Amino acid sequence: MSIPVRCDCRFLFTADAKLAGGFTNCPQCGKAVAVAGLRDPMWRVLQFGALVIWVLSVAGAASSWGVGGAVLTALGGALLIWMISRLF
Amino acid sequence: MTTNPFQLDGYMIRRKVFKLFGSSFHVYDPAGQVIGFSKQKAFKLKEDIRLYTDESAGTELLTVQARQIVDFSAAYDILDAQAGTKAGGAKRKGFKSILRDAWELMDANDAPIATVQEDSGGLAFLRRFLSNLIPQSFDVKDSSGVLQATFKQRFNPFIYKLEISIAPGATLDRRLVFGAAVLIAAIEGRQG
Repeated sequence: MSIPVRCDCRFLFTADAKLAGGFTNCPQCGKAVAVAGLRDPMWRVLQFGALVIWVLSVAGAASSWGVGGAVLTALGGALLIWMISRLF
Repeated sequence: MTTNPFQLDGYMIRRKVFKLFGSSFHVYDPAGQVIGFSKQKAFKLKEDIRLYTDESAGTELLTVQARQIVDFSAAYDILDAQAGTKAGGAKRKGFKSILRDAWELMDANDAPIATVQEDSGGLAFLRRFLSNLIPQSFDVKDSSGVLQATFKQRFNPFIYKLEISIAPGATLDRRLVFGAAVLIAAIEGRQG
């Protein structure tokens, strides 16, 4: 499997999947360019775990506080996940 | 005038062991002059080691970055910050490292070109199961088994010191040797 990479020099090429999250040199200009990441199998497991916790929290909030609580929990959870993803 | 660490045949990495948050280390030439400085932020999920010429962090020399956040393959890319190119990479050999620390160095195309391994299996065993105060030593060998460099930890329970000696006639890219030494000082040193 390969990952499409676009260099700052606008050259489009593919990099091997094992370079996901790392760097490779652009075949056109030779400069280092980042390869899109987050493909580690363990990362997928963590993503799935976060989704399960989020769904359970929303369901719990719905049973305790009704629709308003569920919506607030869903929005809060989404905001938290977005903020954590910004850290990476 | 600043010395280019990639041209030296020997240098030393000195790292404080007891630091509450994050870590930092200095690189010294044989005359004791600082030729490199690195400060790592605490609580950073993805390993990102940046080496500068001095504490002002004005000129970046080398970047060593993990490929993944949750990195079980433990692969790192070594970038030449001056040239803006990838010099190569380093990968920790997971199973081999259980008993004896072992790393693989790769070229810019990710092809294995050298290994970094603890020199003594017996001492590595003692270090793991009896006392981590026993200093570590590593041999860097190319794919033909020719010695390219040695990393020797000096015994000091308070300060982590790693001496790097480039073998005469070594042909391995010195940026990779430097990157591997920085990784070992940052990662293996943290475990010690």
